[in-house]
Amino acid sequence: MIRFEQVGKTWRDGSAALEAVDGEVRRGEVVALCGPSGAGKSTLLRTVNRLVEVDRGRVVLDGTDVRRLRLDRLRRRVGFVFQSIDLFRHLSAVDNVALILRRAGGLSRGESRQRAELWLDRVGMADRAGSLPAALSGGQQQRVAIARAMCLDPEVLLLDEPTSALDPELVTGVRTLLRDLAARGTTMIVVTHEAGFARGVADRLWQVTNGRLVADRPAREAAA
Amino acid sequence: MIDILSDHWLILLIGQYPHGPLGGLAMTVIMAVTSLALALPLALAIAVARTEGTPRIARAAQIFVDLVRAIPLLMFVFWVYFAAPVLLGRPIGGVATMIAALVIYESSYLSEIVRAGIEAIPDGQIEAARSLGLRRWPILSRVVLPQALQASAPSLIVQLNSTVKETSLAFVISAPELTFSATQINAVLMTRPLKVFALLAAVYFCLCGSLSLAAGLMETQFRRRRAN
Ligand SMILES: Nc1ncnc2c1ncn2[C@@H]1O[C@H](COP(=O)(O)OP(=O)(O)O)[C@@H](O)[C@H]1O
Ligand SMILES: [Mg+2]
Repeated sequence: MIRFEQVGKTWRDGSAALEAVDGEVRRGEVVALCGPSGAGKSTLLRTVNRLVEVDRGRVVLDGTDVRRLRLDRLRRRVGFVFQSIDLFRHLSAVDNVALILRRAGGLSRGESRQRAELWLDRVGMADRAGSLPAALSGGQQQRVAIARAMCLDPEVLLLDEPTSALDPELVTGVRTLLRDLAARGTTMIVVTHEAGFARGVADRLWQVTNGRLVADRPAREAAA
Repeated sequence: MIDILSDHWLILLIGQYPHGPLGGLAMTVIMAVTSLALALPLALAIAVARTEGTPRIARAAQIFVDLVRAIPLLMFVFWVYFAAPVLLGRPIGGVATMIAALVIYESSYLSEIVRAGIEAIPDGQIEAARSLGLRRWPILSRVVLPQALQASAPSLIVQLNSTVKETSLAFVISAPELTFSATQINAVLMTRPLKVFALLAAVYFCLCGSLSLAAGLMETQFRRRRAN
């Protein structure tokens, strides 16, 4: 599904963020990216939807080098959820989702609205559909962001520390939602610092250190 | 002052209308609102050219803004006044002249307000929009500009305030607005210019003061809504 082949990235200042990363995520698999801060986890995740362009090696999505895909098409196939959440501040929860369905997915106004409401219902936010982001808790915002990233039925969902900006009591709702998505066979790569969550949800655990993928093992084994 | 007001309030309010052209306070408001409404789309285009355009386009937009801001409004009034007949082959009225001058002048100031609004949008908003598969134009029209305009709304009201005051320059080309009405009243009364112009100042003060108040309220409300 996603294959990293000798992926390397060097920033303009000469510092290397990624060094010869090899790895494969199969369809329906959930991979947890672990590692210290600054290791290159976010950078690796961003090479998949080309928020970061690799300068060595390649990232392959379903057999095609991501650089050969049109950017907006690639990004419709790859959902991305940020640590910083970033709901559109001027739009209500339902409009955040509907905007993507309409302007990126090309659906009609009515259909966008309908499917947006459906997605909000799936993430347990139907009753706050009309609220502006500022009126929602962090956990609620992140659930809307996940709905927004999932609404075009992407083949892959990438999540960069989706719960680490949230207060502890708000984490549970988001975590449950991710478990649901994983159980339904969504292919995911999740950057996470929570070992328990990684073991509970992920099939495999990738350890990233100093821009290298130093370990790739089944999540269950990692418990030992 | 009260007696001047009670005798001449209609002229201050609407000028000679309906026996002559509409003027007075009504025309002042019409000129200010119309010129800002026409300047705003232009300002959006300039601001977008500066923030999103190719280096050459951005540079051209910046030169326009800097140029306009270095020249007094009265020069634009004169230019339009004398250039319009040459360009169009016939003279245009004082009101149209004033509005045209204000549109050029205000588009430059408004574009700076909108640009500040665009630049204040957190990078995360754009990055999220891009990573969700939105293309350039929808990002601009659905994410960037609505937020920039929302954030600039109070400053736009402030700009309406100064535009109202700027319309008083129209009196030099005899466009019938509030100041022009006052000079007419003064010409009739002849002996009480201080009182007439104090009254004029009071009318401007009430109009612009309430605009400032509105801007302040909007600002507070906006901050409250954005606050997490
Ligand atoms: N746009 C960038 N330009 C330059 N250096 C960057 C950029 N983004 C990240 N880095 C650097 O690359 C390294 C890896 O960052 P990142 O992938 O964000 O790490 P992680 O997500 O594992 O904490 C860090 O040293 C970081 O400072
Ligand atoms: Mg990171």
